[in-house]
Amino acid sequence: MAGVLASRAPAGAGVREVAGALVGMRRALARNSPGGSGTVVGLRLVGLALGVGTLLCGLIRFDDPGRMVDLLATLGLAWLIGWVMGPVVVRGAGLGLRPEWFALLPLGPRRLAAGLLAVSFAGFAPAVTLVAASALLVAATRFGVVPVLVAIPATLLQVVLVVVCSRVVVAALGATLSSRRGQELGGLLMAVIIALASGGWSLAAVMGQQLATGPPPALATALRVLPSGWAPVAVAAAARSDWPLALGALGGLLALSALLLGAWAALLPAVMRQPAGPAGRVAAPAAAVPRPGGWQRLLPDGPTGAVVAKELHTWRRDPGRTLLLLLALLISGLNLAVPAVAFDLPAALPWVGPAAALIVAMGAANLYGEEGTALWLTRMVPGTERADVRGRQAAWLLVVAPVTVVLTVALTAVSGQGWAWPYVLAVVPAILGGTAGLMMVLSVTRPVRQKDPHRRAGPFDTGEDPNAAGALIGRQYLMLALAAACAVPAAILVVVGALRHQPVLQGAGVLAGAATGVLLCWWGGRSAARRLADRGAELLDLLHVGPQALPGAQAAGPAREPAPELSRARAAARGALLTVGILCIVPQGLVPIGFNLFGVDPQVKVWFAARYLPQGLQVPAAAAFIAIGALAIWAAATIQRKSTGAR
Amino acid sequence: MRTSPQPALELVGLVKRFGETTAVDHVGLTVPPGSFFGLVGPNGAGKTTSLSMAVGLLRPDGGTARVFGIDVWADPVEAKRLLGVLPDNMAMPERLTGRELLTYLGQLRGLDPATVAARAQELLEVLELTEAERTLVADYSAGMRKKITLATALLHTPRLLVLDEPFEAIDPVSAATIRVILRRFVDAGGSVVISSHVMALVEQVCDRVGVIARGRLVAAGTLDEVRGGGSLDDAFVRLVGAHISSEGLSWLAS
Repeated sequence: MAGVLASRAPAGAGVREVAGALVGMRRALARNSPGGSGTVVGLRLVGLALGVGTLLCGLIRFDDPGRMVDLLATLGLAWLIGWVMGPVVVRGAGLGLRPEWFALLPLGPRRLAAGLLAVSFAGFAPAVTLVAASALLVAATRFGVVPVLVAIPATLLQVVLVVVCSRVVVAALGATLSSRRGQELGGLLMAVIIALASGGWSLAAVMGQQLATGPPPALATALRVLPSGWAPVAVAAAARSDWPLALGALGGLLALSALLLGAWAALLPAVMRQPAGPAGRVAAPAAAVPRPGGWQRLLPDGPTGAVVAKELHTWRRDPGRTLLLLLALLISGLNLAVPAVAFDLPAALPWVGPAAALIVAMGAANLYGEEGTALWLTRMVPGTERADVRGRQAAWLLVVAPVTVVLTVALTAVSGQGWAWPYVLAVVPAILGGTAGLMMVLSVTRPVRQKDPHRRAGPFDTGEDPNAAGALIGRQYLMLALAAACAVPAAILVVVGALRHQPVLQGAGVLAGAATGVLLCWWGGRSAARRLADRGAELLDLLHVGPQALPGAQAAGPAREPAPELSRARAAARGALLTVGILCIVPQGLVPIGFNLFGVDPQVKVWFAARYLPQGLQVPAAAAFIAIGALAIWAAATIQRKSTGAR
Repeated sequence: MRTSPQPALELVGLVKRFGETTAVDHVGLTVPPGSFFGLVGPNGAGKTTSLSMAVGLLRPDGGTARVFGIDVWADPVEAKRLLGVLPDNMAMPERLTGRELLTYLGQLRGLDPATVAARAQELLEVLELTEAERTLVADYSAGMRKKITLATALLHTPRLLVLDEPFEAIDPVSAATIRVILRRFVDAGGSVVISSHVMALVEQVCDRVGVIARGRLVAAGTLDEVRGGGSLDDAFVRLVGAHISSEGLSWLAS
């Protein structure tokens, strides 16, 4: 790739040519990224929605200009955090341009720095940020001509500040970002982003309430002192003719941007001296592993105990697994616990634990696939299939069950919702046992091939097969649906018992939950172990070479050729449809219905379209959103199926 | 270790197809017990595919593989007890240390804990992995990965070792150590099959050679039988029918 750059930018190339070549290279990297153009389009749609949403916030009319500063400073801070986090996620995934790639080119450091800087300001993200920052310009129009004149440079400087700030963070983190630690950090931030995407609405709602009533003075001061708040402070000061403050804030923005730019230029030579390893494999400082604790002695000797020990070590040391637990807690907490507290809905609290168990189950959909070809080791010790399956089940239950049970019991007790006990006692064992059984069945019968862990460029690198990411998400949602289905029989008994006021029936529901869990765990483990013994070679082959390896697959060409990528247009359409589908179903559909069911204050509207309609139309509108969303997801799945079925 | 009259490894008419491509085309091969066998061939010739079928990791489309007379597909438990395998660059349980990995595998194989502990210690010392005592396999270098995989192949005292590219990415000192280990294993009656494309190395350590090209076995026998009077390099180029190009890149000399 550097060769292409060199040929396009020979020694005499100017900043323009260098920047042009860099932009082309970055575009190629995005195109070849895991998930391909579909992911890029999906992310851009989300970015655009956020940018336009922020811009529209500039239209909100406040009687007190101080409220306007509160709101815009909060949004500015959110965008700054996004810009600092974004590159860590992107680089952690092994993407993005790295200055060290260009160390050997005959380009002066100054010209390369200018080129890299120009690239930072080109492209989609800075443009969307400019749209978002223009909220200040929109808000300023209400205060007259001079505030608008102040708002123009303030808006531009705001964009410069966030972009340069993000460059400095990347340069300062340097090689760490390319190491395994960096990938883990990127994974952590990605988990936070996923959690916010699915549950951030509750925080937004809380924030909306705060802004409507005015934040506590300490928070308001902090928002203004942070550089992300200086631009709105300058405009508000100009509106009340406080010139020293207006000019001071503008000058401060300019000075800080210049300072950060200087820091970045100073860091760049050091960054370029770092080894430019292949995708994210800069030698990480060896992570010292704590010596084994006493818990290992509690495990039985022999094959099953050995598998349990291996799995528990992995749970403790693999950030992917830790992130899964964190993600489950964040998502269920944001969607249930935060609204429960903020909107006084204690009935939501008992469900935090079961919801967390369902989300953790999603991560167990591809147990063998996520280990790459590591199955070969077990294949070389035939007769241990049962131990392998039962050991994985035991370890999973040892980790997930205590968290779920403690969370459920504690929150149900705190909530004071006595009626909820039979429900949670019935569904939790069914979900836990059912997942332990069905995850093994799904993992051996419908595996998704992933790159070997030691070759991955980050926790979200699924490999060279562009359809693997989609397939994996499909399996995860299938696992979610299966885990939820496990709870249905027991839940029905409890509901009927409650409707008929028959505690005996509710008790039967609790027993049915336990029985479902035990039975599914036993049956799933048994059938998975049998399948592993009979078809283990085919499973390994599938994980090693891909679906072409399956007997009967009339794959053309050599075995290692990756599946053809969806065409750009199709991938883009799939990404767009998926995004629209999820947005319609969750925040625009399920959440407003939930609000109505639990009688949330009608003033809480935020961005839930249905909440702005008259009372009687809200539920039908939300239901219509769900139908539209389901249609969009169905269309996305059809595109995926037709494209993959065609090969 | 006792020697057996049965061949250590016997491949009979192995076939593997991937779609239209026939990767391995009726490969038959006999490795006598107590021999150090080198399988050589150009990249993509079918070495790895053949060896994967030979050890029971990849199901052949046709033919069989027998280890000391035991069919690896009909009686995998017995056959794989006699086998130690180093595949080419496969994944491992990444979040274990070297010692933990060996302990896990030893217990999986039903060895008693004291034996596992003693053997793991010795293997780690001999392969110079004790300094990385607290490093996860995920953080191992390519050479260290190769060495820990070799340790997993040796742990259960197999009678036949099948090693795919065992010296690739290994530093010269470790390579010498591994050569000594394998030589001692063969001297004690064990059998070794390695694949490689470094002819000098094969000439140095192996007593028997097989040459594989385009999925077919084109020559096999003792080192002297295969190379005739010349070097193994020359014999290889002749057998594989390679054409060494001296054209192109004219601008480089300008």
